[in-house]
Amino acid sequence: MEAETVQFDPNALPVRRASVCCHELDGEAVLYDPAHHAVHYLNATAYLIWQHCDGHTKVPALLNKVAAHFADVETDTLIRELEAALDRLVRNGLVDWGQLRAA
Amino acid sequence: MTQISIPSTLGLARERTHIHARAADRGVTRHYRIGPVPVSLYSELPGIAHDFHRFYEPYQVFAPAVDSFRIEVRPQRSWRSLRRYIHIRTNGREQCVLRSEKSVLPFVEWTMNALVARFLPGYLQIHAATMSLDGQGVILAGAPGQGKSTLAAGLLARGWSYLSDEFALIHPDTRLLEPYPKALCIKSGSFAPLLKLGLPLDLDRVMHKGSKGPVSLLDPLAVRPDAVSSTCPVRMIVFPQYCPDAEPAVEGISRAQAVFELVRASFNFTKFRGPGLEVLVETVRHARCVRVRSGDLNRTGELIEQALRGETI
Repeated sequence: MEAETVQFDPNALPVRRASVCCHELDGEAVLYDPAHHAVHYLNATAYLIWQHCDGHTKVPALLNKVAAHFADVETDTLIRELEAALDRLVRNGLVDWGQLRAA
Repeated sequence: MTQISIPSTLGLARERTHIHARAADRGVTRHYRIGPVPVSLYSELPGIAHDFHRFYEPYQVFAPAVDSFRIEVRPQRSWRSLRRYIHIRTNGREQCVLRSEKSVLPFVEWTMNALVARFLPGYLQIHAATMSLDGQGVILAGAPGQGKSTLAAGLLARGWSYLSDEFALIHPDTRLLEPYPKALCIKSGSFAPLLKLGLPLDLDRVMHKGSKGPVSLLDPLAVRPDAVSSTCPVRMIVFPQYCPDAEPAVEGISRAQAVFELVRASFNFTKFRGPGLEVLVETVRHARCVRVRSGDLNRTGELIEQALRGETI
């Protein structure tokens, strides 16, 4: 299935929402979001993205870091799918946008 | 002659009515503790009290628990139609009104389950059948109609021990499965395959359970006197899908996915929330997780046993 195209601000700094509780299980994860009393399942790829949402890494760098784990997949397609996955994390309230701090 | 015999028959009939009326006035209350579930059943229908007692006699206690679920069965005539209806009430509140006495026992069971789901606070509850083999607990979780009870009965016939056909009760501190050994509710579609396995289904007492249609209750203790398991750790989670004509198959799924599915199948996750998720994660961490396409019960049982031993996944 073709991943939908998502536009991100290249300077945006995705950051895991601090209140969300994460349990790792064999390279995947289940998250509990107390704000919405919701449980989410992250497959291995989504969990990799989630782990890299540290509030210091801009979106392009984050996607490249994650893409490096999938050497045998065509880059453009992969990036589009990773963008879609990141977008879902954001839309489900699991990832926020951090602020760039002045030096 | 005729004039003499008619009053005699009427007299007998009156006498019988009188006896029934006295029995109805009395009613019967008996108390039980089925696993962790305290139940008091008051029935003005002696047949219902008798049938319930037939299944749960080993769990009878002689004093009610303070937190006992009180279920009352009372026949009443409608003042409008004068038809007799049977009312099932719990702690004074009406749960359902039935026309046929054949429907009462399955709905008493249903009421008991509804009370467990609402008012048994100490356990994380999953909608699942639970069985054990050699002390290893197995949760068979899934939506209604996926053949949980039939598969549980099939495993029972293969020598497995029984915990429940409706609830996985997980103690949040010990993460052990607690038995709630109610009778298994078997739908008519499963009668033939289970009879083929030699299970003692009583087809003379087929009852009607609303949209489920005809059902029969299977007493696990009638299968084997030691058929009920004690508490045990969870070693496998099975998500069965009943496909009658397909070849049975087992496929591994990830533990994280299994946790997510268990949350969806939980009756009271919203009560436990974050700590409840932690309980499920730690429970699943030590368990194999599989989807099972179940068909032929013996073959499906073999595959589940192989998976439990780690031979296939």
